[in-house]
Amino acid sequence: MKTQLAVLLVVAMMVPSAFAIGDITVGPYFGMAVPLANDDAESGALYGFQARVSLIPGLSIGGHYQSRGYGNPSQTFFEGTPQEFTDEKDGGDVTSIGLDAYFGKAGGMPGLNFYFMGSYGTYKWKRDNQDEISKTAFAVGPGVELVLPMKVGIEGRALIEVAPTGESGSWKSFLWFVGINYHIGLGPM
Amino acid sequence: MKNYILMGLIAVIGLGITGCLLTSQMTIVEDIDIGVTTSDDVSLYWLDLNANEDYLEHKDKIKNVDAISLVAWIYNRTSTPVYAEIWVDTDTTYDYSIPDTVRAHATRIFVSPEIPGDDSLLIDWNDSFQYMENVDYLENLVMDVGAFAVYGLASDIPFDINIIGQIVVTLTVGN
Repeated sequence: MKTQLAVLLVVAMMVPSAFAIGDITVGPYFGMAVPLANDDAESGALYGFQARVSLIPGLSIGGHYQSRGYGNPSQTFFEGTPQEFTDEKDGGDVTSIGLDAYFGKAGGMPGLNFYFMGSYGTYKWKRDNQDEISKTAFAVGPGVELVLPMKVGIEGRALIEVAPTGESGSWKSFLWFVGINYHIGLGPM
Repeated sequence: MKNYILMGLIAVIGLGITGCLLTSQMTIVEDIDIGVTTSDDVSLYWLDLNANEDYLEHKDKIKNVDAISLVAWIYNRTSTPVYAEIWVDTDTTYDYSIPDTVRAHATRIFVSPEIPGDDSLLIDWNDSFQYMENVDYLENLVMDVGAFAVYGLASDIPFDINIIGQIVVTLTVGN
């Protein structure tokens, strides 16, 4: 984790400056979670709420709450026998609370703003009849926000999320969502 | 734009270095056809996961057992309600036909809900998790041994049940 943070800091220093600062952004978002190489869950809808503040040119930090409901995986049993049937198990719900770091234009400058972000947070997976799983997860990916003059932004983001299981394995998901933001506060400085 | 591509590459390479992106899951389903088992003659089913091509191919690359459960049709062939039990062991050198001997040596991994007399019960996939016991022990058998005996018993003697089951194992595998 120290290595990853160091990489992110180096990258932050590479980002050109002169973006907006002092902006506070809040808003909900909605999208999909697509499990990658994961037999325990299928794609499902997600929603969340995020807030961020732009501290210095090219860097914003924030937090999020997110909830997703995975689809149920299915399996056929006793194939080719009189007992054959296809069944499902619960894909479960994942909730996450985390911290986010944005590198690039995430500060509410009117127009089309691109950024790259990293996220680190909790990962609680609840499924019927199975023990709750509680891990930490991190996610990285690009995003873009179209900020309109009335301080409203329409944002889209795509993330690769990894929740290490602790045994050299991990649960991986591709997340995409769109959100509507309201930019509060000082705006571009 | 180049900066964002560079950041993305750094992030993905970082994840790859940590090994997080190099694992995947696989689910194997294998028969546990214990069949008719009675208090006078306990049945054994030898489960050899090595007979499963996917398991055999990835056996040395198993990182974790993510989920394990038993789906089963269980038929109670007596008029007395019973709770079916499944026990496992790697040792088959003792006289396993006697229920008490199995109980003394093996490990119980499953107890069904009550099955009425002269009736049957389907243990479905989603429900089966709540009936599992000693899952850590079973996971170790799957990861480290791969072959073991599966016995069918019931909570009370006498019993006469028929168990047609399948084990469902979800594994994380990787290099």
